[in-house]
Amino acid sequence: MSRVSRIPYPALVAGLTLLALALCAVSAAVGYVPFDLGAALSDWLAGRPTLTALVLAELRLPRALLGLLVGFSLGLTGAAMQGWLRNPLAEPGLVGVSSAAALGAVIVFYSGLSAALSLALPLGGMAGAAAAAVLLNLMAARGAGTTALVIGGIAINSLAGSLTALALNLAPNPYAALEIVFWLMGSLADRGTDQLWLVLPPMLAGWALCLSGARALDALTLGEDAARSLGFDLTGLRVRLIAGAALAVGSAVSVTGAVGFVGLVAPHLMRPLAGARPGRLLLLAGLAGACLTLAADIAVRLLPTRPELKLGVVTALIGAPFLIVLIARLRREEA
Amino acid sequence: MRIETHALSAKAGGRTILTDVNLAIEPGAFTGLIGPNGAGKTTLLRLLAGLAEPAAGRVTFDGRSAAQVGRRALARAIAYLPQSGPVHWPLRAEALVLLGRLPHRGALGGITAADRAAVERALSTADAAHLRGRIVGTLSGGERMRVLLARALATEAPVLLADEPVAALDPGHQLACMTLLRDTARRGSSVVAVLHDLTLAARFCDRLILLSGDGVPADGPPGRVLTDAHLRAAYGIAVHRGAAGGEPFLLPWHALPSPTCQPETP
Repeated sequence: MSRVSRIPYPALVAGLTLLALALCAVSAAVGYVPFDLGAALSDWLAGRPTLTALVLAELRLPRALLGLLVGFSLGLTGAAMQGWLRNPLAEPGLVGVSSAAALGAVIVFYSGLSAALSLALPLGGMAGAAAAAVLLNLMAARGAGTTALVIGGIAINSLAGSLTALALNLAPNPYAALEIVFWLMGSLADRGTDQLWLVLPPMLAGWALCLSGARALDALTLGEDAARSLGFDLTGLRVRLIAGAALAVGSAVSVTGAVGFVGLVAPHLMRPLAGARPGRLLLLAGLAGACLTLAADIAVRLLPTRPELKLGVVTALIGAPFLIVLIARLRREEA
Repeated sequence: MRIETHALSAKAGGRTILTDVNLAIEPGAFTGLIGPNGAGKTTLLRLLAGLAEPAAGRVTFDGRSAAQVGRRALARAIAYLPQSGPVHWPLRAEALVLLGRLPHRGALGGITAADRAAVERALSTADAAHLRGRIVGTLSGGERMRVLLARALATEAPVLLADEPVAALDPGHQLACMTLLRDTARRGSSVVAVLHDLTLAARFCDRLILLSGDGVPADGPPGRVLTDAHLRAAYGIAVHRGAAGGEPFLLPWHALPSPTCQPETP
């Protein structure tokens, strides 16, 4: 018999929330200049425009909060996609929204719009994600089943990927190409409050859409016919989940670039603690994703490498071996 | 709940498999749905559950269409157990049975005492209470079917539709499962099960509906449905008959070399 969590669900949620908030505080305290977090916080709250207060409000806090939001988005949508497709290998980008968002951002980069307007980049990314979501729902409306949708997502992924490669190929100079490649690696460095406020509303909407599917995802454990016989509208669920993933992951990719593996690993980490219930897994995987992303972003600043490693590189470097160990352990438990 | 089909036709893969089917499923009876492979048993069961759209005709639930009844009200009225009952995640048996209560739970409401009580009743009825803490993937075939049945029973719906509930069970578990389904009908539910075992169907069911690919050649008490002529025409078999303890039984004995044994070929 496998180990089953006996920790009550509310205690798990509370514990993970506290951990995420603590990591947020650590993230705000870690940086390249000596920094007194307490003094900065009191200056900022008192409205004193000191340098430390500015650094906190304009650099440290947006970075920490974006880490929280992006990580939560990735973990939550990863769990939602795995539950929807009943496949533990599904990840947030499976339906093509991440790569479409990246393509949208790269087009903005390439066109030079991003130099003119700081928000052009995330807006381009969100437009790309929205286009992918609309395309997928159009395919689904023509009667494509779940497998056909996944193949459609793969097609969107590879199309967006090859168009991104085309943009790199045609880049006007090597520096432009390098800039795009670095951006695609994913990072939370030098993101400001503008980006934070821009992505917050679509992310919250995406979270709400994904979380609203919790009961239906539980029912899908028994297959599509049984879920429908339990009173769930699977067409509505599909529209909500694709829209939710596009809003949450599209916004996340638009501000940070591609941060891999968080959306795949977070649900795996939390599944035993959720008693494998897909509905309960949503919130737990979101919180775990936030913790993982914040921890990785703290790590890139603590490592002595300069310039700092890209966040997406670190999450992939830690995530991939971790996943291999996890799968090996799962196989042993099954045997 | 009384489920009726009116001039029902259905297609699968472009081929018509049900033509002009008129049936009424009444409360309190255990009905067996029998017929050769490809005759449309699963299709008919899904239509009765409101899970599929007919090619022609309609299905009514207490005289109303599925849309008029409403998705959630229908889910509270009909429990559906799909064939081979997939379970996609390593849930504990108790959590799985609790899924049967989803139609009764409000949008944000938690698990109520009534839900807990219904789960307990279902677990004990299906003789699965001792399995509650087990992960479903680690159960044997018989244990797993008991837990899946408990899930369907936990809805406490007036109608239970089960697709081949005894297909993967050993003889002991088959008898236990059929007894459980018959007892459920005795308590006032309508129970409809797709069955392949004619002996079990004859012994336990109150009524059998024989499907044969182009219609319903026989519908009624087992003795009237399982005649040599019907079995030869529908399955292309000859049976061996006997009786034990006052109950008749029959065994499929040999296949007949007749074109009727391939009802699938046009």
